[in-house]
Amino acid sequence: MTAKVERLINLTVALLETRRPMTFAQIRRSVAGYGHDDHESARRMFERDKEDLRRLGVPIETRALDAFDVERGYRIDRAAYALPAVDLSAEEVAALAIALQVTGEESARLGLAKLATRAPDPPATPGGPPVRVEVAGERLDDVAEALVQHRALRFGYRTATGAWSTRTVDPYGAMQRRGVWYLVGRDHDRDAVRTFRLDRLTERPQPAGDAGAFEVPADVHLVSLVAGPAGEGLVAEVAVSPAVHWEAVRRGGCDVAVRDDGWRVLRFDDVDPDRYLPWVLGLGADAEVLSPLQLRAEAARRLRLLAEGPG
Amino acid sequence: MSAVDTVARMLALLPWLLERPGASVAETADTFGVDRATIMADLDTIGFCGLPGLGGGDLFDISVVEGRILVELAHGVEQPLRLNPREALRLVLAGEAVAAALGDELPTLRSALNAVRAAAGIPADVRVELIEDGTHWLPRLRAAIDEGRCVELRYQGRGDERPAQRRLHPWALHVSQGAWYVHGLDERSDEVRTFRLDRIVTLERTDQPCAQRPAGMALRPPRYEPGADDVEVELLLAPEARWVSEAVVADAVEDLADGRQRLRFHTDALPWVRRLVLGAGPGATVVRPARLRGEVRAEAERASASYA
Repeated sequence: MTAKVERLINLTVALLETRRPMTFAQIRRSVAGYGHDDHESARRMFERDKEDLRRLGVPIETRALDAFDVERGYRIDRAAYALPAVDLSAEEVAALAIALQVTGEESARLGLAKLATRAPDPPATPGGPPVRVEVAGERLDDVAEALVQHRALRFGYRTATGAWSTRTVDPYGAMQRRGVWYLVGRDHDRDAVRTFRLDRLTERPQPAGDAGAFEVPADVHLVSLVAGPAGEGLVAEVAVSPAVHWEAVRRGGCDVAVRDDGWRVLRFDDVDPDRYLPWVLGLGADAEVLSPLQLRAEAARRLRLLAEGPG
Repeated sequence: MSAVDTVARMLALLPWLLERPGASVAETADTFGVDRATIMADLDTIGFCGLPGLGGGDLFDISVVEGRILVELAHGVEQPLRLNPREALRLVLAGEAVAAALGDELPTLRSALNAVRAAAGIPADVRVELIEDGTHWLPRLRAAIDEGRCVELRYQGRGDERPAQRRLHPWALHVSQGAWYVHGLDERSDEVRTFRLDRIVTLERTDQPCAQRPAGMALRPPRYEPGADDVEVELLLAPEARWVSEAVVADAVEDLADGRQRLRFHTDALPWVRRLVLGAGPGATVVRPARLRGEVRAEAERASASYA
């Protein structure tokens, strides 16, 4: 392994320092580690090393050195390699270090070290708060490049009701809500902005187009897209038993009356029936939908079917 | 650790050390999240690298004297490599999640994140939104943890029919899958437990001193772990009820020819499953256990009476 590490470092240094693109023959002559007797295996090794470095983000350029593209040269553009200047204060570095400590996102530590290279060192961190935050950021790894580079993605996707299709999407953003990761983007075939649950992708997304192929429109509002359509102002009233009253209040219900049987009547504004009804029905005999009447009828219908359901 | 990971660290290590002549091996190891031996091995390896040329070329000039590191020549790699999209996004995400959880406590985190986004070239909108229900308990819980005091809470457990009274020695807070949990010793069961904040009905601080958290005890993610007494549940789900399989930790999910889905999972909390099934309405059919099937029917019958 040490041999490979040395080779990759030497190759990076050589390609950064050279003014003119280096041919493989030059690399083989001068960069330590490629001087094997067997030309073909040295060549294969070089190709693998080049790919490994590119995956790390080292921008190795390939240039044709003649009109027939027979001879190719390689170099690294320093401006493309180097991290632009970052202006971080010691307090900001400390805040980011605490964020990594609290999340345990070890894979982000190197990124922080790079950004903090020229920043003042924070005083020794006194140990963060007694809080642990799980991010599950690895779920975004497969879409990270496309998101950052504005590149379209193609993937198989199953909708909530089980319909499957291949989607091609310009990814605009990603959001974790209630522990679930969502990708928001323009669906090419539907020519509309859609939201995709990452756990409903049926295969690894593949890049489907060039980097920088689209701009994210300014009017894309991630939070409201992921939260789903608002309830269009639907107001609902429900009666609940004292035992589950706390829960109804926690869900945003406002007390409006107390019934003779001790049950409380609560009003919910801006209700999405698809989410609201499962919750009320889940409360079973502790809740009763009062209004609107269509919603009450639907609750009654579902409960009747459940009660009569296949034994 | 792969050779490529080592190379990534070295390319960051060199510029970092160049900016900090005489940095200690210990603080370097801390910054890069590795042990001192790894840093020493890295430096050893880098010492054999450098510019190409005959006779070994021009090598990096590195010395370690009494635990202090001095890098004098770093050909071409005086500056750190740009962040690649994955590491940049991971860093921004960690920051976003912590800002969502502890934003008020870390006021500089927001401005730091903006600087990171600009430098790393992350225009993409990535966000973390946490469940807000129950977060109003946070200040009281934080105070109890800081002062080492027990709390008395009424808690709706997933496996309980009704909220129950508990006394908790709170040790730490935990955000997992977007929800807040408090982690500590449950006095009644004398076991370490996690409690979801949005299931806490009431919470009061007491004057009883809190038991010490065992040193080195890791926080276990508050996830369902199968136990010996758990029940196996099998449901048939119509398309409109498929969301149920995303709400449980499934053992198996199978698509049937008629468009329905067969879902199998284990649970230690039948009352919670009964709620799920009732909520899914007639779209979910209980295959087993028979007891759950009976309970769902009976509860639906009782609930129906209100609508008669």
